Amino acid sequence: MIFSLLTPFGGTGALRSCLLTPCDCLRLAILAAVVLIAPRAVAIDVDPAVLEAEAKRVAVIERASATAVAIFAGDSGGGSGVLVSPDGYALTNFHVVEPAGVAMTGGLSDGRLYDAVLVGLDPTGDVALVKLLGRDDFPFAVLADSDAVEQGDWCFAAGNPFLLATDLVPSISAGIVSGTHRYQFPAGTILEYADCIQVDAAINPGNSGGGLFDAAGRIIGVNGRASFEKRGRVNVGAGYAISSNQLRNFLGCLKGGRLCDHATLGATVASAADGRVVISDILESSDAWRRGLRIDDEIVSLAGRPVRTVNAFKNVLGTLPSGWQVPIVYRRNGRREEALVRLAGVHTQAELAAIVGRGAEPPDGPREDGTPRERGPGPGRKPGPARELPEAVRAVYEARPGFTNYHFNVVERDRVSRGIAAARGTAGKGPWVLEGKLDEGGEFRIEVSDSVAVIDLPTGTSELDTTGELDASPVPPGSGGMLAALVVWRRLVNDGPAAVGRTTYLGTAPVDPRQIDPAGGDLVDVLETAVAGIEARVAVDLRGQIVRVDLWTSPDADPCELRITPAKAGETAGLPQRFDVWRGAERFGTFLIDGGTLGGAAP
Amino acid sequence: MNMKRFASGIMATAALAALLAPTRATAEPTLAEEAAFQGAVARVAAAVVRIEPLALTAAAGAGVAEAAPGSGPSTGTIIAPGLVLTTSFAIPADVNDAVVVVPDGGRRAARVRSRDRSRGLVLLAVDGLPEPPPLGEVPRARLRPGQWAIAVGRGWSAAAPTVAVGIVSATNRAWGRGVQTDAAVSPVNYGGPLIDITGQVIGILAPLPAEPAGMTEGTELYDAGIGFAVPLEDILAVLPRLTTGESLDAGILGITYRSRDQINGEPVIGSVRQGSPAARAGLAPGDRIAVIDGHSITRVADARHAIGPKHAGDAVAVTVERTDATGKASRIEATTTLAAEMPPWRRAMIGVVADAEGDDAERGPVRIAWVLAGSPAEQAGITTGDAIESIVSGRNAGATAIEGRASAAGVLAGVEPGERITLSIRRDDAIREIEIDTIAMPGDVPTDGPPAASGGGDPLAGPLNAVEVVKLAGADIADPAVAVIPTGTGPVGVLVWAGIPHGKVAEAEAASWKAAAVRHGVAVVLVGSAEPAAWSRSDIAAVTRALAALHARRPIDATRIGIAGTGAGAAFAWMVAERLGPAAGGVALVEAALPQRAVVTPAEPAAGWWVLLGPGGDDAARDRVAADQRRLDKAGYPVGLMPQDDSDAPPAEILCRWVSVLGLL
Amino acid sequence: MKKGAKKGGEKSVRNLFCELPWLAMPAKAVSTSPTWKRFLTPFVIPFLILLITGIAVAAEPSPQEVIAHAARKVVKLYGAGGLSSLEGYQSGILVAPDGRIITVASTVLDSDEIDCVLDDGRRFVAKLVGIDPRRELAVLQIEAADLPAFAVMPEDEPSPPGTRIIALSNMFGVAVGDERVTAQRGVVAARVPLEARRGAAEAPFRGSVYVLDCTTNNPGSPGGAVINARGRLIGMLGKELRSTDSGIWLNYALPASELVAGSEAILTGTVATTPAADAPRFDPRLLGAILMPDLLDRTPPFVESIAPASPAARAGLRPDDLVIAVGPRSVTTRAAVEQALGVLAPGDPVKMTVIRAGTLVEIDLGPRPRGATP
Repeated sequence: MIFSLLTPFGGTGALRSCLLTPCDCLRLAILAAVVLIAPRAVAIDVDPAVLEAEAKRVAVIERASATAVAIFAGDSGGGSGVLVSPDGYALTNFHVVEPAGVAMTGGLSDGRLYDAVLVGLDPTGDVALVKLLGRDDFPFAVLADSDAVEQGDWCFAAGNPFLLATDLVPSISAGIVSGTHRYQFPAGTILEYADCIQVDAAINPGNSGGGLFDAAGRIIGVNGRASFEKRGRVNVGAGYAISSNQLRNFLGCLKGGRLCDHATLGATVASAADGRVVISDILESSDAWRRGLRIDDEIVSLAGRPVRTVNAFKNVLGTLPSGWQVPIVYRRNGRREEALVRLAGVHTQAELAAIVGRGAEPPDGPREDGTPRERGPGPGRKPGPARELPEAVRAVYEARPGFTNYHFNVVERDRVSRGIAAARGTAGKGPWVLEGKLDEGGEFRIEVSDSVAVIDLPTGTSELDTTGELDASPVPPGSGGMLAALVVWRRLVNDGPAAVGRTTYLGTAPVDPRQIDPAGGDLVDVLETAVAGIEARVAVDLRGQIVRVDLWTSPDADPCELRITPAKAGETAGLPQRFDVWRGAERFGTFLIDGGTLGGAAP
Repeated sequence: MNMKRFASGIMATAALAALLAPTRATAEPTLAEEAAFQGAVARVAAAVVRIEPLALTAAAGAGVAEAAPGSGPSTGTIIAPGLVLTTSFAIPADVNDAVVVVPDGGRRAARVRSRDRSRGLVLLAVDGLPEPPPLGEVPRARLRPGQWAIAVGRGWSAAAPTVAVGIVSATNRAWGRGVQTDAAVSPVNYGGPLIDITGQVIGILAPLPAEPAGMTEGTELYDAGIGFAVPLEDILAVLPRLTTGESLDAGILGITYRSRDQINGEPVIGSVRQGSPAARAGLAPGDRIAVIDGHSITRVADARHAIGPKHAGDAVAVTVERTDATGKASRIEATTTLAAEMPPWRRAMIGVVADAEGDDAERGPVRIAWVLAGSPAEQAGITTGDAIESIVSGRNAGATAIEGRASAAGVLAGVEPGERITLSIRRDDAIREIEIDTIAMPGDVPTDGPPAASGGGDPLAGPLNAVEVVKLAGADIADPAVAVIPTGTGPVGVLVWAGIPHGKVAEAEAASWKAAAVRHGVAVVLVGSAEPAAWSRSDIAAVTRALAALHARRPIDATRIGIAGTGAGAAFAWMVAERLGPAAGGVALVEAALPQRAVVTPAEPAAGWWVLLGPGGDDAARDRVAADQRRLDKAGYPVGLMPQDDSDAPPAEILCRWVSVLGLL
Repeated sequence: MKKGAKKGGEKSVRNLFCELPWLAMPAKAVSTSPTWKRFLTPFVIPFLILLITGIAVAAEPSPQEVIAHAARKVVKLYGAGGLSSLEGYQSGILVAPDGRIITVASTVLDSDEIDCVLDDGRRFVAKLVGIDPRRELAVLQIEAADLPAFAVMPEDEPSPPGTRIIALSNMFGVAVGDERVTAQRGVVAARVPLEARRGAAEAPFRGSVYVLDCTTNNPGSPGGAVINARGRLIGMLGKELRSTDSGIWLNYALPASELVAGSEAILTGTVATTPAADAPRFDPRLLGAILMPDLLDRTPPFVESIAPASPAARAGLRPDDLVIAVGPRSVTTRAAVEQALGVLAPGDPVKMTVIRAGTLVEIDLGPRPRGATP
């Protein structure tokens, strides 16, 4: 079975896994390729297995080539990209699009040039998301699980090295995975390649932003840099690709037209004499500090991945977006401790904006040949008169501080809104009532209306006037603002995100931070809302149900974490099964719901 | 290692292996493929010969570390009885004899029969060649990216063919002349066959230039995973002609495009060379190419792909759309025969400099900022502030409306020096027609130049009475270049100066440039060398990045970029100019002549630098300078002599003045 | 589902290679039971080899399996360096379970303390056992036991061009601690005598090396292992050198046979301490052929004049002939002619190939006289 991972054409088991993959088109393509290449096989006696493997490879490459974008930005040079959705979203490198600004053109192997617009930027990870315009049926490739990639796996790159793709058909270079989980140092605080994939396929200037594909034509990474030596900027057998798992972690944030930032623990680590990785310094303002981590604590694992070297630590952290909550395991004088830490950002938004404005020259970043480049309007920079945005682009670009292209944040927020509305179904807008038992005994009753929110607990009754500021008193006491969280939840469902204070699309995060799927199978949408004196982050699952509300009544205090176990599938607008309310490491309560109404039937 | 112990182990191998071996095969038939590689190579081995460099052509090993490889044993392919095909890497243009080592080790004298210069191929006639089995051919139509591509050569060893394995990377590169592979291609296998897994020949490996990357030698990318082969199909199509001794050249149409962006750029003709096939076909500046030989053309690149594979003498059918001054659109179809070369192009001028154009310039009538003393323009009474609205030249039927400096230059590019043109000039809101006899560009730098204001004109910025000295930092530039930039916000000309290499540059070195930079509104970029005492190829990239960094902070007048250097810096300046191509307006080799390996291609409307040389100290040096001056003039370049200057300071004044007039019309 | 499957797959591989106690690493079972150890050690090596070759014989191992197994035997070496473009690190190959390592003799070893980091991240200080300057080969020793190691044996016959290879090295030092060294795949491009240089310095080794179709001339690569598709060690990556002929960068490996000869010479103290001296040059003047004076460093070997009644005169060599070969060896410089004549023994027949008016002429100058160095 190990082989079926390398290619879907291996043994019988493998073949089955090929059929499972949604690609009858692929099988047709293979047949075609065999037909095309087979006839000449009569010329000489070659093992049929060799010809078959070749034909299959050709078919896979033909399919992947169609997803390769040749990015050109006039005199700004260009690079490569790879389409990841039928509506034209394409991943590339920050250092490729930065000089181009918000408008560029993308060429596909069909020989056509498409207008493209900048959507999101991740300078720290050297990633950018652009959108090709004009079609909703672009060919695209899927992101594989890069943690399943092994040293020695066959792989290939499709891109635009040295901008040779004058006919817009990408250059293909093949090789093997030379190393996994590599760490390549950043330039300053940006362009850090953490947990990246090293390949011996030729990666040259201009390959930047192009896809690195596995033998099944799935994206295992985005090529971004290479080690260059004595010969100047040409390939010498060591290219590096940003792992697909990292890309997936940031895709939501990028789609939101944001300037994305990477995570920091708020602590630096060093390897002790005995090789353990220990905290060498830690900020008292960090969540890690609040969770109890201190200098000299040994980091055992982070986000579910073991940490044995400083590189391993950087590799984990470097693939995580700012703001995620992840489990950390550490050891202090022999005792093993666990905690959930909320990761902060490496930069402030202001710093990121400055970086984007200034632009980036990667240390070894394969870029086009580097002819003098004309700088277009970078994000943050206003489009200059000389570079009037094309009509098609102007329609999908909106500048706003903190965003690379606010237009797409609205697009994503509205998508989530539709999901919430669908989940709400026909429920009326009356008061919400939820009754049930606390798991430690005793009963509770919650009522939330437009004017007031009340909760009856064995310990007493708390009330919150929902017409005014919600941060007046975080009630019930010790919850950090459970009632306010319930109010935000109800407003989002009843009025829709657009109508609730300043609500924007933040990106995605694991539905349950305690166990993160590195392959991102568990990512849910997250909205950020600021209303009536509070700030909240609200997680919405694929069914449009709100599964979590983190609510801050003051920025530097621990938020109230209202974790919602939604109604079972099928029961639209059904009652949630339970609440788990936490504050920092403290569990405030677990509410088992057995009755009530979410607004009753529609009037 | 204890052999006895090992031997005892071997005996038990089979048994143990049977116990431990996995039962299934791998997805990649690794060993079967290995056997296939060797089988395929064996199939063509007899046709692959070694080409040994004659002492005469054997250059001493490559100079700087990054330099392209020099000579060395290379490869040829027996393409027909008595005929070996190889490349111009092994047999440079000035060489006619070669020594071929056949597979059995015997040496044969070879003579150049003919060349296909469009693809860098050379056909050798060799007596006493063994007759190899005929080569199988992979038709272009059957090429697929991803299929096996094996590069075979004999450069390493005459005894056994050398093997490099890769895949077909792309099937239509080098403007339609080449197949691209990621197999290792280098001087050792140039001229050898690129074969598929069955031993059929895809093409002949050749150092085709990676032109979109500004790599003109074709060897820069050796072993870098980007190699090219000329498809055998294309070679066989012209082999009969080559066999008769006819040499083939690339076909030239004789036009340039208005847009320098060949990927996105619209296929609008910028200039038509006098006496060119395009001119004979009646093509004119402003025409939009719609169809070439039945291929519809929407981008400059489409046009180049359509013409790229053609040879001189081939016919080409071009359909253009033309809008005349009255706005009437028409469609013109023309057929013409491509030429091998143009008579050297000479830049015609009337002697004016237009307002500097930055990125955001209005592409309208051209306002005149300065008139050259004694020029036809002055004699015709043209003065500063006049605006050129349109030009009528003998060549193009109607008047060409002028939209920005480029279109004016385009019209002049199609004008023979001495030819009369008619300008319609707007002055004080009155239009007047003025006839002017053009003259050829002068070589020497005029004694004055445009006022600085036109180099950086921006009323809001106030008078240009100061400069700022900045480091053009960039994350990947360890020792950033230093720039002297006149204050202001308007577009500036740029002078790149490469002195005696001495590692990084210090801000202090900027001092001697400030005055001239201000006077002429020219930004001066002082570049450092990566190596302590030598210029290297990597420094070229540093220059282009420095220009990018400068451009990021200040608009640049693209028509006024001059590259200058002295000593070792002069040779470097020439390399930089070669790298920038048309992006550079001039090259100044101070106290120097052309570098040894300099290639002087005939001037083109899109690429005709204004070159300054010398003067050179002793007589020998002066003779060389004089010779190079003739050589450049013959090729159509405006070329002038630097005045004698015994001071140690760089000739800032004259160089900045020169840059300020690079855009002479 | 695939992930699960993969886990299973990995396990089966581990079963094959790692879970036999005496192969486990670090081998607790062994160290805790010395009696065992004494009994088993003689068999460790055979078993190790059997496991690799055994798999290879019975069923073709995947590249992943081959790499996963072989990469454990390549170490990261850190020593002196930092000097002009010379890196302070390179690679090494474990050739005995007791911690014997072979690598390239380079400035990296000019250090009191050579750090050696194993695949599992364990760090040792390596002792320099000896150097073979001719092959630029060095043997190191670390204080360890029961390490996975390559069996270094001469190949029965050289691997022909087209043979698939995998190069394992710590190029660019990308792997640190317990991170696995870099794996690159390619083929044997050729097997030829090494004619290469770094800067002006000629490489001392004159024997045949494998030229690789694989970009291995990178910092950190020297000393890396080159294995074939079956995981067998066929060579060691050499220094960063460029071809003397064309100036292109060379990717090459010292063949296993040289590794065996070199390390045995070092261990038995029979190593030739001085680089192989080139055969003394022989001046063609002694044959009556006066070549053009050596103005440049690569003056073409034109015949300037012929001494009357000399062998050259009798053989019909003429002024202005251009010598292109002496015997089978092609020559492009006057120096090369003198070297080519020098390798002939006195009495050997001297044959020259010259170009005369565009045609090749074979000239037989008879036996080579006893020579004097010019």
